[in-house]
Amino acid sequence: MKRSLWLLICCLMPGASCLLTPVKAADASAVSIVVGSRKASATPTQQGFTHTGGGNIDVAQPSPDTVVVTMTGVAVAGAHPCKDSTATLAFDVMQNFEVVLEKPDVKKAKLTVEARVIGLLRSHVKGGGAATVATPGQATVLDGDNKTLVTVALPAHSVCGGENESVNNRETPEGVSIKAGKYTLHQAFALSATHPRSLKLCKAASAEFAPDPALDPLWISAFEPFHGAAKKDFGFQVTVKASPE
Amino acid sequence: MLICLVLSVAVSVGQTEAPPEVPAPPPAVTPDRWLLMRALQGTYPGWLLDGNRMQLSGWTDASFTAGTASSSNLPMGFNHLANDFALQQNWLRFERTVDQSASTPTYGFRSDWILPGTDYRFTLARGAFSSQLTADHGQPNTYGIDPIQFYAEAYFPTVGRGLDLRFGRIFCQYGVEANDAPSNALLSHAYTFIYDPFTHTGLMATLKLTQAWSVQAGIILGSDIFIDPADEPYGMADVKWAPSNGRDSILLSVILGSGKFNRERQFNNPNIVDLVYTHQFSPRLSYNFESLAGYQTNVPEIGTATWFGVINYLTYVFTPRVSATTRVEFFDDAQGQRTGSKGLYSTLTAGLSLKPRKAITFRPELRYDYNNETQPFEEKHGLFTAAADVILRW
Repeated sequence: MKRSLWLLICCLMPGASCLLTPVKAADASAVSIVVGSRKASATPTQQGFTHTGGGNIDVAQPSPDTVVVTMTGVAVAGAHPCKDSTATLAFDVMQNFEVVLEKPDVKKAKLTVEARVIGLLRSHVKGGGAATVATPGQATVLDGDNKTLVTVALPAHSVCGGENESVNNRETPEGVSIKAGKYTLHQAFALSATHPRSLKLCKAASAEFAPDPALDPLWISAFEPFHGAAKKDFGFQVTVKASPE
Repeated sequence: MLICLVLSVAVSVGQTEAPPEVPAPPPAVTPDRWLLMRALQGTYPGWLLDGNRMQLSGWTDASFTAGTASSSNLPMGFNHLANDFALQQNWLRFERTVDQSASTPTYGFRSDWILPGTDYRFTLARGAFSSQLTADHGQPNTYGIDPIQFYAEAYFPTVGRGLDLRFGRIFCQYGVEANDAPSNALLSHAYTFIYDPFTHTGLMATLKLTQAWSVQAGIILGSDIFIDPADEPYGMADVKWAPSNGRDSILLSVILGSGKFNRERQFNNPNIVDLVYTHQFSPRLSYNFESLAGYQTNVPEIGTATWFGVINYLTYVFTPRVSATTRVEFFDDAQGQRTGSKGLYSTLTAGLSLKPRKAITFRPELRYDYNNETQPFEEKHGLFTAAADVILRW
């Protein structure tokens, strides 16, 4: 019944025939990226009343000419009565890849690198806790001789003393002309939360850069400033794309 | 256009309706988190509590009762202060619940304190802070404290369909009404509740036999008594039939022991049989029936004292935030041993339960009590009260 109603609406709407037209298949890419070996790590360190979560490094290739590397994680530190608290989560990725020119008329390719980071930083007015993006998101493409070809870097962020911040930064694509060959993407990112020891009832400071359920809600205040925030895109993400020049 | 229309109609002919969507399973029930736990959330103490499945919570129940009595509404208990405000319960609960969904045994505890409140004078057990009952020149203090419930608990999921063991001072398991204010639909209490036991001290086992049947048995030190020379062995047992999808449920309970008043220690040892029947007419309308019979021998100047109570409750839920309840009770205190005045007490109560917020309950009610035989209400047969209370959960 729903199907017939939809068909009826399509028929009655001017120009609705486009909905029924099959989409033309996209042209095969002239340049492609072949993902090679990888050395990646996410290292948590915890001391005192702390929590780390996530620690995912996702490498995806949504199309033959694109590679997307996403790092997601959480670091939380609260007031321990006897000792200082520190939580960090450090990411590091070395991803090898090869740029292949698929058509003989294409001699060179343009490699663009784009980065964005989305997340939340929270701190409490009491106790002196702080949350920071300890290593701001950074991505570098190196050639076969380990020579830097292109770099994108995002700004640092930190909060303390009751400050809270919703972070959403994007660095516009940096491009470089390259030949076919082997390259390496080096990507680094680190989160940190600290809190001095205290007997006060202080809420924890948190750096949240991962979708649910990386951060257990019990670790943040029930009256949290970012209640209802959409978190599905949280994390530090780098997109590497190759196109014919 | 006409062709399109005809085509659409033609396509629709012969098509079958999409199969109904399978309803999603109900979400897992999570315990309510009240203000105190929410305030502690994200702090070290809050993490310690949550990490060990413990909760700290409570409520404050304050009431005002206006009525035809000038100073006291007794023998109508609990909201007995006439034309006066009362902090009936300032309740602190510290607990670690057992996990009944676990496949291995789990352990917990509960500690409930009235800290303080006027209700303490009715619920206090002999041997646990009971000197408060004579602290004001032989009379009870208006406000007092009562460690009304404290027990250790173990749950064994593989015994029957689940065996629960509790050891300590535990609420009596019979009847419709309860000691904790939020569990009751009405502010005031029935005589059947006021003049029968509130707590037991001992070991209690609850075994779930099937989805519908469960049984309970306990070895206790008597009723409303803690560690005291007047202790004597008593037993309690009940059988419950409550099918999960059914409209009816039945709970039959007994408290049995010597049934003999302890003249040396001046302590009551009643034997009691209680029946509760519940019927759900619709999702909005429910009915509860309770009938209780009790007796006690060796009572000075009386011999054998008997009492009998019948209560009918009818509750209609208008919205999740608004419900109305009526209660009709007949309580026959044949010799006056329970209330101090013999005769048949007839009461009619009508009240509302309004929840403007999840943590706030407002319960206004009107009530009329009548004793046909004696004049227990300041030398009058009847008592009219208009009362309201606010329960703030924290």
